[in-house]
Amino acid sequence: MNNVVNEAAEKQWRYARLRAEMAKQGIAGLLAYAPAWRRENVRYLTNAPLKSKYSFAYLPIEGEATAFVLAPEDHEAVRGAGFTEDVRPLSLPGAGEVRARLAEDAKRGRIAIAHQELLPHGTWTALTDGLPIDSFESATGLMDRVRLVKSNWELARIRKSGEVCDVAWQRFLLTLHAGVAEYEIVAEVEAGLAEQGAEDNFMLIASGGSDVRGMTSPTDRRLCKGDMVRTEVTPQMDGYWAQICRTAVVGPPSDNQRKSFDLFEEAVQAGIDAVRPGVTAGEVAAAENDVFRRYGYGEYCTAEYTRVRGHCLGLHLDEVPLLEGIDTVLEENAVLIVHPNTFTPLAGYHVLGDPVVVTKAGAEPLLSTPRRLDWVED
Amino acid sequence: MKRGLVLFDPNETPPEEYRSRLGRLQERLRADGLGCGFIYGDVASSGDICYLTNLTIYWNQGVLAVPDQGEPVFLTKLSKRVYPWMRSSSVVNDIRSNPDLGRAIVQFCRECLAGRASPKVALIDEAWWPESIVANVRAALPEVGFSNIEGLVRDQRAQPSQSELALLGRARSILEDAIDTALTGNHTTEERWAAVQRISRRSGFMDIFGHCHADPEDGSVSVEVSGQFRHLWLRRAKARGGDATARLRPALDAIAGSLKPGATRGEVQAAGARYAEIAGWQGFACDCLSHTDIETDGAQRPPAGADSEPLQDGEVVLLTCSAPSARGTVALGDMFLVGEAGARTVTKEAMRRE
Repeated sequence: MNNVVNEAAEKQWRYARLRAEMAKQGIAGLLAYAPAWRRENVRYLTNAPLKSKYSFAYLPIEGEATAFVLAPEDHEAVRGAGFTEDVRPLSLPGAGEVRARLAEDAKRGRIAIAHQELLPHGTWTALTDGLPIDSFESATGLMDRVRLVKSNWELARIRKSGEVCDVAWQRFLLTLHAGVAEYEIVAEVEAGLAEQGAEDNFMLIASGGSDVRGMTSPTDRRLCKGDMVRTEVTPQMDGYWAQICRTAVVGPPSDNQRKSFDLFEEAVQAGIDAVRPGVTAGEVAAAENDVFRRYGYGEYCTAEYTRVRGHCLGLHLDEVPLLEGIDTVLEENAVLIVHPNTFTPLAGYHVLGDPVVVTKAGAEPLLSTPRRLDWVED
Repeated sequence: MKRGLVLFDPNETPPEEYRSRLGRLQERLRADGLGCGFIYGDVASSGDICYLTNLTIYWNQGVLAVPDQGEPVFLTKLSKRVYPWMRSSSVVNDIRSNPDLGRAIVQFCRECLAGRASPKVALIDEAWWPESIVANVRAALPEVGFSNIEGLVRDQRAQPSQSELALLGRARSILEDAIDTALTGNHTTEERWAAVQRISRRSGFMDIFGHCHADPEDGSVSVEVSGQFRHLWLRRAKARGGDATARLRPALDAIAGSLKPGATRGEVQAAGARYAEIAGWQGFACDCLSHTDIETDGAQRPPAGADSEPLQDGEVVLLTCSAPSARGTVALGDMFLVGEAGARTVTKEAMRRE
């Protein structure tokens, strides 16, 4: 168990774990690529909130890490974050600054690139020009594995995100009434999150009856009496994401809406009860799906109706998926949300889910919001 | 992700305008002997796809396949469950899901190019495509020629249509209201940013980025907001208080005078440098950015040589001026329509007269 309490110790802990993995695989240097929508690995290496639409961070097997950023204000952000002082400008798509740094280490061994799969063609061509291409490999899986287990420093931040999820849900409920538009609800939740200092949010919503099959960005649809309003709100606090999945009703719930809730609540609890160090992502998903199967709704656990039965959380909001067959082991201090969100003919798409930390004693809840079928006066 | 209003309103942008946008692209494809053009987008960079179809890639990645004749097809990693929403909020009907976008492109090429001698396609703005997709597509289609066309859609977008100018004017007005509210009174930066979020999103903005900054040393407060309204991107930056703010306002107005058809971006920046020199101002900077580049903050702007590309009549640009304040930087920025009679701020009223 890691008991780091400050940035220097946190940096040492992360770099030691990364370098142990790199040494196992004979990797001389690890390059993290971050487009604006996938910054988690650069953040992990630099601890810095960045504005640059594209950035890189490079960790050699020995020596200081280097960050490469586009936005001038990110130089100060990286230095202020305390993990590295070496911040360099970046020009794209060629990334000559990155190439110059890699050229030296490529002589010593392989370079692994996290999010190599997203690296732009122009950047890849320039980076590998004159360097042996078989020196490069993907480090995306390596980074996903290392980031899976959180330090206490990280858990403190994720717990804060969990508290903000509770605030967001209350703001959501306060905004609900017949006649309000979906996008107006989201606007109010976003304002509430901004008041809490959230860096970002991921939020889907869907309102309507049993015909609803999934959630999307908000529309201009206005709520009606009897609507189920589904949402997942995913605030990012100090880099770390937590998520709450809930469904509320405009007016008193119908019998089928209550039955749907009871089914989903039992599935969520079964998933949470399965959480312990050493359980696999697939086993947690199976525990949830077994509830659906027991009541004759097993068909609705398939890809036609649902994407995943939950997922891990951290510096990225959608880490290891919870799906039957995924054998990723969830170790102590992994963080996941158990959410069997899916469609059933009972009441249409239903969302319900809670994030938890994997502890020796089982699942530590991150929310104080009770799981219940809230409803608001119409 | 994009979590603001996604709206498809034929009163704002008539369906024939989308047909015209796609049609211009298809004309160019035919002229170049290309059977299909592919446009890549992800949640952080999808302005071209949204411009052509109103499709919103609210998360993840997608590719718009535009054959030289006929309807476009959207290739996406998103689930079929969101197809009804995508169809209702865009002009695209044919949507195909595949976790492997490269494979989806290959399948579409084989379908679209069947029977053609010497088939050729374009991966538009290929430099910005993920290498993993480019490599797989090229390897799987050795019989197909690949043409790289940079900026094909971006160049089409540079000069907004009348309907787009009307939307830009409305959007700027919303940002003006949001920022003025945020600048008013004595609030924390979190409360100010909350006001920006609330007002912008309630008024229909799809995406909002930016920050509020308060400098206790000189009493200045600044707010900078970049936002997406329908498919259009704007930025507005305002401030109150502090010496730098007072100096920046006339600077922005003066340098806006250099925004003329034929002037280059390099010349606009030089005008800024001259202004600063005359004023004896250290640390002043100004920049001019096409509205099409606001989404990526200029990161995908054509290479340095493009600073010598002349501004076009009817082009919309962002002009930003910044200067050091007591403890940081203050920036003012606004949107201008470049015209023969001089640049005009993209206000709702001015755009109505266009």
